[in-house]
Amino acid sequence: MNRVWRATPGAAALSILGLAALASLHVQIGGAPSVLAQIALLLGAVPRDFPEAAFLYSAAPRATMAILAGAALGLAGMALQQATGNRLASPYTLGASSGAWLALVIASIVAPQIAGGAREGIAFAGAAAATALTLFIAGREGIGGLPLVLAGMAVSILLGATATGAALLNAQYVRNIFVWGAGDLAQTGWQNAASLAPRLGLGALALVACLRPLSLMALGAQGARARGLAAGPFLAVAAGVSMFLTAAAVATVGLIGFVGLAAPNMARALGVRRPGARMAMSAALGAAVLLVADMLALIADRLTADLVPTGACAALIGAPVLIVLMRRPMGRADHAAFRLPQGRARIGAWGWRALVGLLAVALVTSICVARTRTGWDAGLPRDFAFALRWPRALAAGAAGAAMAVSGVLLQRLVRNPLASPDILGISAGAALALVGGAALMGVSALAAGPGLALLGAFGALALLLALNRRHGFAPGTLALTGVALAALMDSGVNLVLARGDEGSVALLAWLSGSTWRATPELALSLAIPAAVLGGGAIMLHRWATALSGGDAFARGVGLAPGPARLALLSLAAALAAAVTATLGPIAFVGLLAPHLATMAGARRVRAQIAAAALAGAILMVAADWLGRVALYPAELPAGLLASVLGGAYFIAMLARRRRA
Amino acid sequence: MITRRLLLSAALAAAAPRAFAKPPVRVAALSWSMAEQIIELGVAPVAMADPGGYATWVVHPAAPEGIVDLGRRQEPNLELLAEIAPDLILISDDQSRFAAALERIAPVLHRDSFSARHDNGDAARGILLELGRAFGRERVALDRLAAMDARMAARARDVAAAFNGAPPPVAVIRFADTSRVFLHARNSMPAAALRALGLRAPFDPPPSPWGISMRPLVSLGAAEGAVVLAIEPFSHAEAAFDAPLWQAMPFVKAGRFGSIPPVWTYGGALSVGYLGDAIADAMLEMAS
Repeated sequence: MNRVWRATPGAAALSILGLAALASLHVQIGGAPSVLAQIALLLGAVPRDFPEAAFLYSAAPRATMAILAGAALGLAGMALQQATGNRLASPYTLGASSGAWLALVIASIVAPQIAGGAREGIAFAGAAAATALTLFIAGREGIGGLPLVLAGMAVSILLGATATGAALLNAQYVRNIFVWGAGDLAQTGWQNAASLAPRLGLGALALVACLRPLSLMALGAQGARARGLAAGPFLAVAAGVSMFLTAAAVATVGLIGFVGLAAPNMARALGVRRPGARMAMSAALGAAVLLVADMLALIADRLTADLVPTGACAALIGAPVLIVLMRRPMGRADHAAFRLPQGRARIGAWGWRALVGLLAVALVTSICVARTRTGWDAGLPRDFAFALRWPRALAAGAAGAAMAVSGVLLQRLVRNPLASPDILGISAGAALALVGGAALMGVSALAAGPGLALLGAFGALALLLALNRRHGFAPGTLALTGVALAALMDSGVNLVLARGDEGSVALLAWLSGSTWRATPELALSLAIPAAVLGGGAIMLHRWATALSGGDAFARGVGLAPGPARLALLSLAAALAAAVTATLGPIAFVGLLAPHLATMAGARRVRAQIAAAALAGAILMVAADWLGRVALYPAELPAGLLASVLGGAYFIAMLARRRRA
Repeated sequence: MITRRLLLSAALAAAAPRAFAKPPVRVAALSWSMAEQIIELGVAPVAMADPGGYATWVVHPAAPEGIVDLGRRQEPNLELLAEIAPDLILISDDQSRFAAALERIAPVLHRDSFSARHDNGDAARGILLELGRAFGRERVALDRLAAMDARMAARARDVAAAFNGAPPPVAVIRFADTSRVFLHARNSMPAAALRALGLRAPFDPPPSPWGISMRPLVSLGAAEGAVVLAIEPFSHAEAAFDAPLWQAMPFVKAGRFGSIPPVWTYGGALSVGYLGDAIADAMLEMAS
């Protein structure tokens, strides 16, 4: 759209009227006193009965909070997008939500008596730390493009997994904040609005003061520096304001993810150019989106027995909007060639021996070393123990190898070392299918069966492909749709978790990637397809090599990029689907194992696939074993440990690389 | 040992447990509700899943000292369970998904205690009697149930008398946070306790497995003339009670809000009695 929106007083009045109309619709839901009574109450009349009190202290503050929180999130997103020059930047995609969530989970376990004010401070600290980490990982060059988004998702997954681990072990304490995790706007008075309004004003003022630097930042870091702007410090300021607004909103209404991402993009799509107008529009659109989402939630609430969290509805609106808005590709990132991180030049015979040896050690340890009631026990296991341990080790190893190979393929296809199947939403699709199908069928997700998960994974892939076909599966848009899908599915899962009953905890365990259920049949049903698909990937290694050089390069060597990419994507998705269907979603292995392979020297595709498969298997077998012995007799899911340990190692590795 | 297990398996396989030839001695309970039920019968389990959590949340009746910890309820430690070598493993509800794995260690008895399709209070009574028969303690089960029923009837009379024969509807809730509450459905344990006390509830959310339904706080205002009792603990009490919406609630204005000391709402048959006691105490205090 090329229409330029003029920031005229007429346009402003229209926006305000529009918001007011939406708000008045909003407060009517659920039965309200007459319009005259409503106006009288808002002007200060004392409520005469409960319906009037409900209007004044519940419905009206709720609509107000939707406007305030929506505006705050819209502004927060806009600030980040202007400052980083990245359309995908937002508190959600930068991992701030996960940071806030983790901080609150830990606080609710360690000190459950946190009062309102402290909660906001804790959320802010968590969000700020996570954002700083993401910006650090993406690096100065990567902030403007895909690496930032992918780094944010990686941080989100790491922090989310850690929070999940804490929640699993302390379920009863954490149960009540599940609904907060899904985002809900129920109010009991004007307290929250009174606390959020001045903060919103403060944040808005700070951004207004920064309008000129913000418009310079839109030229990119180089351009801004050329005009004398200290890009680094300014980015810190903009991020700080964004975190402040996010923490203020999120501490009162919970994690509502999409508004900060969608609103500024909608403003841009409407053709708003100047930063001042864009700021106002982002705030107004954020408010509108949240109002509409909350209305949907209220209506759904009346139709179902359970609370429908607003955050889930916001995602339902925001994700499709976002996907529709992405008409143009990301830009430079699309045509960049894939660059491997540093490492040795060749893996060599000793490298291979080391990898195989490590795998053997891991397998032997997993099967022979265990804790018992009386202490440690090392040696050949008895029949029963052996029958329990070998399927778990096999399933873990096969899952690790499959995710690793999937990760190698995706990183080559997306031409970015931060891509992986979990980040692109394929595992999330499987998870959503299971959770959603189970909720619809009224059974527990764990009983729903692997077929449903496979369906979900391929559904996510099909969606990914359908939405990206017109761009020839260019990396930038592929990653964007993946992020949107993953977020959409996350909120679907949160919806179920928010019910807060005992079933939620069991679901959480499954979502952490557990080998506990591994029977010999299950393990083989994963290992065999993984081996076959992995073999297929190795056979197609030349395609992957060609595609990682860029589309022009691929055509130059006689390969049609579109169909080849489709084939490899399907392979990657099938591998991820097989794992998710049997063990649940497993994160980080697909991201980390290819890196480990490169560092060991496997730089060509075929070698990288084999080495990554070995590395992934080692990681998962070790994680499975640790999960069984670390907190004996309680067992932690292998996927969870792999996420936490792998994620921490990954971030440490990146930190070291940047300093070198 | 093997013969006994075969007998047990055969009896369980027949799906209608009768008294076993020799009652199981070493019992492992993987769910808190099953553990609670057999402890009430005087049978001490040798192992339980998450006894620490049980002690914190269920509290009463207390688990025996030195009980072996089997890990998390959703994924109990199978190797440890095999080491313990129980005669019988008790599981409930969702845990049926791993019954097959457990069968290889010992005979398994599974019952659905919490489901949207039945009344949880009635189901719990049935399970207590079944377990009583299986352990040769049917007399104990019947006596304890009869004692609980008699006690509940007496307390129902007390409550009715305190309110001049017409006690108001009572809503038993838990606070989820300052603006959301859990209501209890018809098939929940608190609802069973209310019925035993001759009281009725003002809300009737649709049945759900655990009998709870989360609603925004404002929905409590629809309870005309009702008493609202909140189960402790609730850490944000001050913030919640200061809110204008709360102050405007009809039951708050009429002084009909009370709190109940911590009590577990997902327990066994006799937990209905403890709930009933707590509710009756709160009602009597309110009437005075």
